[in-house]
Amino acid sequence: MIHIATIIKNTVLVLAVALSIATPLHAEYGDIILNSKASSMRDAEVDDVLFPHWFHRIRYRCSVCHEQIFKLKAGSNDISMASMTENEVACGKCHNGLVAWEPLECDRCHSLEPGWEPGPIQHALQKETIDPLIGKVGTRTKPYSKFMEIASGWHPLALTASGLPLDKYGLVNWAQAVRSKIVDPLWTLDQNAKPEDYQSRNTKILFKAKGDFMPDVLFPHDIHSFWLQCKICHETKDGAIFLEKAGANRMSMREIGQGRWCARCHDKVAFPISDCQRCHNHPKDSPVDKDTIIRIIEEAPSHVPVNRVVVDDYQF
Amino acid sequence: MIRVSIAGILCWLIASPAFGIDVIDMVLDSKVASMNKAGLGPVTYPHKLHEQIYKCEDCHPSIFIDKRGANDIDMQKNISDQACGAPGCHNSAYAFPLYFCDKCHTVLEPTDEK
Repeated sequence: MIHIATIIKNTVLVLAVALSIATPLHAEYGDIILNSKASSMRDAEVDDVLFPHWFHRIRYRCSVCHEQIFKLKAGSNDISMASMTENEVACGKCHNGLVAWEPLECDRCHSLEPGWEPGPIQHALQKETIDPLIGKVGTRTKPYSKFMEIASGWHPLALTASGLPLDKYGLVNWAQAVRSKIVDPLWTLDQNAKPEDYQSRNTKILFKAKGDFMPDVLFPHDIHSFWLQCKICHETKDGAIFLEKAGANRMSMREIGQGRWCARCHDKVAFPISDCQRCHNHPKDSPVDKDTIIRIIEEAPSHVPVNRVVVDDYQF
Repeated sequence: MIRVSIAGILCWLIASPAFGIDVIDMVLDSKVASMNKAGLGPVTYPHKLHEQIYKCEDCHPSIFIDKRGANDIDMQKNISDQACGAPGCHNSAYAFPLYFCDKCHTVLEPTDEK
């Protein structure tokens, strides 16, 4: 029996090594590379930090850390070992030996080989591996989509074994995981907090798509207020992402594509916005519930065409 | 400036009869009223670029009928795995995603911002 166990163990090891050679980056979608203090890390002979977002997300809702501990923007949090251990800020808020393990084993966090750009993982991937593909078409083995590439790449064994539901790219479908009660992350670290202290909101907002052919967006407040608290979107520290007034936010899909509005979270940690039908899910003129807020559309301003697309702007 | 001149040369090359090209870029503007509501303008479809990558039968007639005006393309279809968003195309992992509006559409800007 020992013999069989050894064989299995060896096979797993070989597989793990093979996987690690085949993929360039050991990170999951939504993970964040922290290496703005790279030179100091090299002096201390440690690797870059890979923050496993998914690992924390299984246990805690976004609002536990955001924005009391970390601002909701990669690069805007000044994290250092000194402040972490002495003042118990940033990671040290939990990693103090009480809530989570003390930061004594460097390799647990300083786990990523240097050479990647800081920030959410797909940006790093985009710079290193996707850019050469622009100008060409992706193939089945080398897809263009950064999300598909991440999903088909390396995953932590614990995550693949978890059986969490997946979306069309193969990334974890966190909303589904919560709705089907596969995970039940905590909403606060405060032991004395009462469930009624949690602010949640169930109303839906119908965003009427401006074009005649695109289905409308029925925005669910419930799942967003499950993960987040009102102030994270409506009183964000570096300026509210969404003003708390229907019609006050002049959103457009172009700006979302450029990383504003919904894309402050989606495309970075929450599910990718290229999954059109996950948001544009409400056929035009179909009925909505009574308490749905209908987003007022401002009158279409008159337009003049600018920056006509030129041929070499097309990228595949 | 360099960008513009490259574009100019490319336009000239594509339009040049010496290359024997049958189909040049198409302007898709049958739904321009709806596009304008969304702050966008007509699509200039680069047929030539697609010719370089695909064979005719990859798209015709299974995805697009090879007759101008015969394909009623709209965003609803694109996001539902039809037309430009057909499997393996712009709603998949193998080409740029549909939310980069200005990769296909002309961009309009408001003249009188309220």
